[in-house]
Amino acid sequence: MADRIPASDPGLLVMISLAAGPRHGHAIMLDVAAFAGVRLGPGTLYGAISRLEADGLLAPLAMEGRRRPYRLTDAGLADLQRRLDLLDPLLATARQRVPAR
Amino acid sequence: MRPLLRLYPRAWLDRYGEELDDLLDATRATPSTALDLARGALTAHLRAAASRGRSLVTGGSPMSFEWPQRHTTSIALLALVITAPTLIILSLYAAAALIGSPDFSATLNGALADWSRFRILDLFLIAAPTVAVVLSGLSMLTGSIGISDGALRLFFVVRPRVFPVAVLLVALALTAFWVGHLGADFLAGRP
Repeated sequence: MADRIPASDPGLLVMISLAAGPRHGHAIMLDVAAFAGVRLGPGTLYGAISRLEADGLLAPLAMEGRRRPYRLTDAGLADLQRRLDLLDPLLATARQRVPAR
Repeated sequence: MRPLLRLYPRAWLDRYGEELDDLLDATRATPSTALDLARGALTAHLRAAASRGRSLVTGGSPMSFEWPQRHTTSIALLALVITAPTLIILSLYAAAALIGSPDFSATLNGALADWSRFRILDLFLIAAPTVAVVLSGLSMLTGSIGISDGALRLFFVVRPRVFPVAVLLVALALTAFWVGHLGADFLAGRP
């Protein structure tokens, strides 16, 4: 029985985490574990961060010690909104077809 | 866990290495973490190669993984060190033959006769030039694994440099000598 969100899109999870405000890598990891029950490995997390940064969806802030916070860019926020919009009809259809308990 | 960071591309490490290193301090070291880092490093290499748009196949996919040869001189030096005993001994024999000194030849033969009791040393002296040929050749080899037309393909490129080529030629000459010498012994029926 699945009780977790599939971690098939770490980038989406990172963007959802950053939608609440700037966070550094470790804080993102803890946040994603808290809201999705998914433990992102360090390689997976920084793979997603580097990809999102290269795509201009998140931006680095000034280093805080050895940690660097990231924030969603406007493009990142728009991309996240678009992704959620794509999920809406999927969820709506699923809720129609699956009887409520 | 930190040695795994060295698997990442240098440019990637320059940008994210410190942060990732800090994150590793806060992360439990487990086999799955190690696997995750290794997978992340491979992905970073693939992305770096793709962003460079390098593909050795015209019209092929830019998805390729390249291994640059960063240790050409070190590997060629290792090849030289491995083959040095054979080179020195054969050079001494050549010098003895050129000088034509019976005493020198007798001394050399006496010394080598002691060593020849150890079969492994003989085998090493014979095999070393071949190993050096392989090493010095590999030191100049770069390559990539790429996906082209849906198939996984290997590409190799040789980038010649003076020192490795010199070592390769010396090792080839020594290998040729052994092949000729041992071949002549074999044909003559000598053990």
